[in-house]
Amino acid sequence: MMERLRALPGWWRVVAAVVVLVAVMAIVPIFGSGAAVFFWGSVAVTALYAMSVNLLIGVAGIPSFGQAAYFGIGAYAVGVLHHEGLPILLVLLVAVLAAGLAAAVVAALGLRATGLAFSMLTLAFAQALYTLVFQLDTFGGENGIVGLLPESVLGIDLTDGTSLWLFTMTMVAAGIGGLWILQHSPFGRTLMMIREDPARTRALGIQVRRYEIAAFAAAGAAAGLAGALFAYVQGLVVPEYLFWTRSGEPILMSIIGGMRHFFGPVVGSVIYRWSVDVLSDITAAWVLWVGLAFLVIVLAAPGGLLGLPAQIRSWRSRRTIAPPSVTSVESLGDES
Amino acid sequence: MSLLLLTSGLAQGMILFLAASGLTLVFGVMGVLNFAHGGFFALGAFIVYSLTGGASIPAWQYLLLSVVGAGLVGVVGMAFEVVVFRRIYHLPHLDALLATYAVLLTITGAITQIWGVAARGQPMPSEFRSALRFGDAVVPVYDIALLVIGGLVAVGLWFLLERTTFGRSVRAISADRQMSASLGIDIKVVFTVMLGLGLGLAGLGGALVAPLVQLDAGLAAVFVIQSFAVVIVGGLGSIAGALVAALALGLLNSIMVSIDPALAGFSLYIGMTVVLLIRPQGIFGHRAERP
Repeated sequence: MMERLRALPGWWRVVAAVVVLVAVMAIVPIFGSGAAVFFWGSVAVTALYAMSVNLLIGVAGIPSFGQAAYFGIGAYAVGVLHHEGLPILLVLLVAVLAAGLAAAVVAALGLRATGLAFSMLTLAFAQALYTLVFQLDTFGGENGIVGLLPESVLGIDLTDGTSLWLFTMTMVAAGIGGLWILQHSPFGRTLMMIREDPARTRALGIQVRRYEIAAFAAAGAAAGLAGALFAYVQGLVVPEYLFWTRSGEPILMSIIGGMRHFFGPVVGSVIYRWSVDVLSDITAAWVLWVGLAFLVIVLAAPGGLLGLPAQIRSWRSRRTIAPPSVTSVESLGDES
Repeated sequence: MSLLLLTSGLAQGMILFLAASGLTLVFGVMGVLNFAHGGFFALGAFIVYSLTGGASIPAWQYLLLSVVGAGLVGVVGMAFEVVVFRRIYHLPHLDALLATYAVLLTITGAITQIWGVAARGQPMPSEFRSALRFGDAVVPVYDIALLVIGGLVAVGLWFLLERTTFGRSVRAISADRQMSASLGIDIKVVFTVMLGLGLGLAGLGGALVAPLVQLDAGLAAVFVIQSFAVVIVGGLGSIAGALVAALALGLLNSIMVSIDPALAGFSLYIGMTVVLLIRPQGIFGHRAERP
């Protein structure tokens, strides 16, 4: 096991990630207030959501702008099923499958279009879903569905904040672990190849469309898990989960952290949520500052925070660098 | 179809056209799909609110102040072009989209900063509140006013692009940027003016929508997506396409709402999805992507 782990590129990052995860899981409830536990629980879920988007945009180069659809499907699956008295793990499974399936269908239909047209198609689907949920009383309409308080999982009581936190973190870790395995598998490498040069990948005999549909479904499933967990953490679902700005946020977080790094979206969502939390205490117009910061990052440091060392190195060595771009690459080997 | 259904659908369509015309204009020339467009739309609504002091004023004054407000938005837009947008044109589509998304957030935040969080209401000028009778049918005056203004804007844009020297430069640039530059067209100036014009139109749309909606910063995000739907259905870069698509979608929406109110807003996304699947370049669009 350890041997195989060591053979992997960046294995120490995995070990470090597990250590950090366990530490965070322990430290937050010990030192944090109930509100802090709640806050960081929703941050963790958001991080998983951002990672799902990054699998598409950062890894596979599929420009999705409607990930809120699958996040929302996951959340609403919980909303609809919670009061049926089903076990939590089953509800989560349904949420993940529903979101993944919907994503697969959208990708299968939509990937005929490319680039901007595809972005707009994903956006249109998410907005149509938003409108649907907003108008239909079956889904609680404008007010959404409230009172989604999980009671227990596998006999473990979830009614207090700490146990819900531990459960949420375990699920988020499982989701992120799944994405890590996916991204470091031959499948994930093929996705990067497609991102770099779809035409050449096709020439190698790889069915690009199928890989893209599979990636879209996997990202949708991960977003669905995030959405379902978010519904439990917040205790409610509202149509806003599906609004298009909710598709923009995870992209924003991924860029802040760095799209070319596996943990970039995690770093990005922690920074994003934390700074929004701090800023919104100071001013109601916090979006102004978030927007400005984001603009500076997109234009000046498109590699994000984790991409900064590489960017500074390339400045120092005065090598000519590619024009700054969020979606252009430094090198394949740089990924981890 | 009743007359009311027809005029209210077309009036909704004209609002969509006013919101989307500048967006398609800017895409046609610069090749950037501009999320920030919605921000300037909302800015137009708020500026006119401040110009009128939120009071009910005579209709002619309101229209005059709307044009003044649109002009102010256009000036802000030109400033933005010089400071920000210039750095965006050369980026790949997705990066450009994200950069303009950042600008949208910034403007939304700025609106909250200036006008506060609480929603405002712009009263409708009293002349516009009445309705005209045509036999059995009753048509609100404001719907007719919107149709007239939208028509004027469409004709004005056609004249500007097809019948003036400036319009010829614009068309030359959108056909071949490099060649136009080498022929002595000052691309930078044309771009600045075009963005000012496009965003000014957004501002005008916002100013005319102000009496119909609740004014809050969320306006920006709502209307930019509706504008996206219109320009995609019509074909990116096509003014005629935007007009036809806006009127068709407005009409479709009003028919769908008359069948079931729960269908409000769907026509846009259904139209958008169908067009993208069947004819991704839009009704009036051309196949060619920007270089």
